[in-house]
Amino acid sequence: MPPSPPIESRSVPVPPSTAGGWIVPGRPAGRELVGEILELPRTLRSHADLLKGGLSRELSARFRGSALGFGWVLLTPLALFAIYAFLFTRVLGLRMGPDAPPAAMGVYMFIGTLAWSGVAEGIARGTSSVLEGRNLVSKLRFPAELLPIQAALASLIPTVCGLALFALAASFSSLWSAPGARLLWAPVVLFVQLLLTAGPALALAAWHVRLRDTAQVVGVALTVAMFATPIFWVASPELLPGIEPLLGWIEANPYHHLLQCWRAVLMGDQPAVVFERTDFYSSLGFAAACGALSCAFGLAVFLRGRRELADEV
Amino acid sequence: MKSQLAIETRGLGKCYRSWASPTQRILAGLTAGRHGRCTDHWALSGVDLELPRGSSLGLCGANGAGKSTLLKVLAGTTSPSAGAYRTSGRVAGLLELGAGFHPDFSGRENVLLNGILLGHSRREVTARIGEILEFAELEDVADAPVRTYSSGMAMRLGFAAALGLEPEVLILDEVFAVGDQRFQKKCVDRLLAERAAGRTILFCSHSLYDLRAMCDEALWLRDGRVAVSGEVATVTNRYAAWQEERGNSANSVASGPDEWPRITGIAVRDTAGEALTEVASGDSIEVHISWVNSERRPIQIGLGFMRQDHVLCAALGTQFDGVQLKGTSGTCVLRLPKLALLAGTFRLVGYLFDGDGLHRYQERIADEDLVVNNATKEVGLVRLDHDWELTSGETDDEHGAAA
Repeated sequence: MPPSPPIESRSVPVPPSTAGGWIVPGRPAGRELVGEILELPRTLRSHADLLKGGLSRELSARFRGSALGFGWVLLTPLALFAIYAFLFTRVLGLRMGPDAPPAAMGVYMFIGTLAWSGVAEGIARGTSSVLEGRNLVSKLRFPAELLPIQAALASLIPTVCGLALFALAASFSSLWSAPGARLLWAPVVLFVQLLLTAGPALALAAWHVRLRDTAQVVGVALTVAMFATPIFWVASPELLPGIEPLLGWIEANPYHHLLQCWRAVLMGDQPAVVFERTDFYSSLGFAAACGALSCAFGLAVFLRGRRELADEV
Repeated sequence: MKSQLAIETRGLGKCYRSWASPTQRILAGLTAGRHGRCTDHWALSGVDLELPRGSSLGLCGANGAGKSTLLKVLAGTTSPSAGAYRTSGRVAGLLELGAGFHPDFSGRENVLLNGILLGHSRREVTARIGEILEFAELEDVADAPVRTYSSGMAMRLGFAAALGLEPEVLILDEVFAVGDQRFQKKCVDRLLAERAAGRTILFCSHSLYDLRAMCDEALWLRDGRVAVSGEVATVTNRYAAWQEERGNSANSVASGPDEWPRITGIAVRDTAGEALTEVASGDSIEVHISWVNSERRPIQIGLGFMRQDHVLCAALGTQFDGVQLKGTSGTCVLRLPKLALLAGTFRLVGYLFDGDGLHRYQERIADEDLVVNNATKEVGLVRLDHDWELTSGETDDEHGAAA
């Protein structure tokens, strides 16, 4: 709701629209908003350098002053995997059913954790990205939507490194069977993950600028979502008998489908119990559709209020 | 289709809204603005402005009058709340010194970022980056993060980055505030060159001197509205007069009631008492400075000759010569026999100091600049009083004595 101008200035003849290069107040709506959303690929292309620079800076900032540096991106998932494999297969002796290989539970959790932590980190960092980038937003004509998108992109890097490491380890050791031809789908799954991260990040970033409680809510919601999404447990009534009535809800969760896709890509289709209720292509399709929708929604929310951001941060 | 106007605004207004509390804001969001307590502050309203290409406009006005807001809107960093504006050509804004730089990016990256945000391609910026860093004198630290820069260095980088890509429209907010004298001068020279090259310049300053030096036209903003606009001398004089009336001259360091001593006029006359604006080097002139001092505070009066490029060529003062000013008002006549200044246009700046010559009550610029023409062929700033003595080659005796 734009404030109404003081009475005296209303009498001035003012160009009513953006035609002729006039810049007028108000939020973009309808066709104008769609136009701005469709502008995104061009913005991304013209600012590709900035994004690249921002990503490398973010990574180097994260590991600045550490001796191992980028090695931590690889070491963290490696340690995770070792812990999971040891704890769940050796110590607890958990098995995904009688036919499943012994490492299955560890691999299942490992892949879920890696992908989810990427999503969660991207959303959390994306939410606060605009406020943290206030120097850019308020002092320059900076396309602020790049900030949450950059956060989402950055969050993919540890996921990619960890999953690539797993694929390598599985191919060259006896830990797990080598991933099959479905590995070729990995870039697509990664893109879907980007959509599912950037969409919420955009909307939440825009809200966070106006209401600083948003980041707190997001923090709690992400924790809830981590347990509500099958990461440490399997959505199978065979393994978790109490889960039956909740299955409908679980299957409406796009992040569940995203994780299932990652697992299908990296684990093959075994153990069957993990995949009996999902089909790779329909999961991917559902996750992709949700991702595209969330991005469209996030961009619409973000771009609608973008012009006011500079005054709010 | 390029408009002849670089900047055009119609009823431009900017409102800042503050909410009584975050809860009120949520309430407003949920009820589409029907509820929720907030207060609107119109920092700018009803500004109509037409700035032709190649012109330079200065903004003056008291603190909080909306100068910076106007510049921010026109530079595109914030959006208007009412009215409309359009700009043509690339607009580079230098709004706050050192701002707009990402502290973690290196100087080089920041220049690149700036250029890309201005709509240049990476290649165009890369081609000029050396030149920009050279102007900023930061080649040695170009790859260090900007947060390690001193404020002066960041200022230099900002200035160089804004000017280095040859924007068609330059928007500058109080840029002469920091930086050492030498670099300030470099900036002024560069700006004058840019102006001569036909760029459009819009800038705001509290220094009426800078405004007059840089601009053809000026606009005085008062409480977010245009009070007066037009020729720079007229506008700045009216603004200065209003400030003096308010007893709160931004031109002077002090603020206070009407009773502060002040200079009421500066006039150049010849020895016969005729008003002058153009003299020849070597002429004898008088500068009449009228003052009032109703509370009989101890005061001293000074006069500076400032060349157009900010070089203070000479400054004289009663405190240096042990002259006492008595009474509640008067005119002191500064006699300058055989003016030593060579050709140039000089701005006369009257200073009113306290009794010790330390605190400046007021700095007043004469309405008319003093134009000096050469009667002789010497070049330089001043013609030193001199004569030549010739000695033959055999003696070592050197006398280039001054008379």
